[in-house]
Amino acid sequence: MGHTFSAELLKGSAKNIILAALLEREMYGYEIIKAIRDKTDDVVRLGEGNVYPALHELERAGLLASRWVEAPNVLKRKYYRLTPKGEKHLATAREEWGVFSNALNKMYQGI
Amino acid sequence: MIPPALEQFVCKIVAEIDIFPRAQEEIKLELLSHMHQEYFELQLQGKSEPEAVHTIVERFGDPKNVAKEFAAVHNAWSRRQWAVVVGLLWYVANVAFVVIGGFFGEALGSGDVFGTFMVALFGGVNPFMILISALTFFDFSGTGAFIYAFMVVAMALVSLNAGLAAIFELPVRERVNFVNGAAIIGWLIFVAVFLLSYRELPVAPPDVLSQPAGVAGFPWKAIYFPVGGAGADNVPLPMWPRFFLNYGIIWFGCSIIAFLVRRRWSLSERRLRIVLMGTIFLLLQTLIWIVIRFD
Repeated sequence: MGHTFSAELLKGSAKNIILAALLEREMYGYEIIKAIRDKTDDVVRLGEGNVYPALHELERAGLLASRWVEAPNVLKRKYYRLTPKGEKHLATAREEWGVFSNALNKMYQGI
Repeated sequence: MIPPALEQFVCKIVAEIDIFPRAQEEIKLELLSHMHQEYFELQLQGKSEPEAVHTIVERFGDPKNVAKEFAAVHNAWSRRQWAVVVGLLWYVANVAFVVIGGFFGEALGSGDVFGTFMVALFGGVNPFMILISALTFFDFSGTGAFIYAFMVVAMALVSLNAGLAAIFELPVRERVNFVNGAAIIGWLIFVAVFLLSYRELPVAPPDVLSQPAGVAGFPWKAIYFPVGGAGADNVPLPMWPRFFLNYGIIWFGCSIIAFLVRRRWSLSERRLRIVLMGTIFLLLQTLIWIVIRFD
């Protein structure tokens, strides 16, 4: 089941979560949302109304690129993929997060 | 079919985002595509239409907040704010041009406030300026990368053409002076401006009053509209093939270059706005120039 996180925590991490979801392959918005739920065992549920503006922001920042794809019997879908800049950004974010979470875990030890 | 309630929900979001219609349409399509899939999956799970709609709307949250987030991403400037900026710019351009003309008119050429400098700067681009200004408030965000690159390259060539035409018309000893320097700077400005632009080329430079007959030769005046001699109403017939040939060469060349460079250009609304500000500024000056010349 979805866990309730503080808005600040999610806000700070949402974009990196989205980037991480796209690490393996290109996906469209709905697929990204589902992939995040699946990969995090339904712990992280990003608001659907927040994911799309975030995707657009990441695209504007050059971290994602997109293309429209037509498929039979469904509406056109906008697929997003990581750009090299996005991959680099994600690698840095992951490293930062590792250091930060280690430090935080140490702080929380004994609580 | 997607339930009308969901479509209305999306329309509500999109209507709140004050961006260009094409961008609105893309957001609408993307959200509808999402809801379309989610709706059918919820139905497969056994939810009724009202239940599915309710779930989707709930997951999306307050449409105003969603719109606000989109608007923040897409642009800080609304179209209304943009209109105010354009209005102010016109006013400032008016004042600036009158002041510049008053102080430096003599220096700019033969007692004519605008002279060669202005011919070089604006001679080839009046229709373009008018066109681009007319398009300011229309939807042009869908311009493709190829068209964009094409226009940039074409405009650079046109600008080069206009600037150099003015210079090479002069006797050799007069080619290097302040006016020509200004013409080259004007050309550079144009190239810089149009490197950031999306819009279309001028097709008929209108400087019909000052163009002598029979000088339209490639490359310096390739896209100058052919005009008859003083007092003549009709363009001499032999000029037309050359005009169209020159014109064709320019566009063909542009097509090739644009095809080669098209992937290097990116489209952004902010960039477009900067270009439009520049071009509207230039348009204003051009219009004043025309009015004074007719006077």
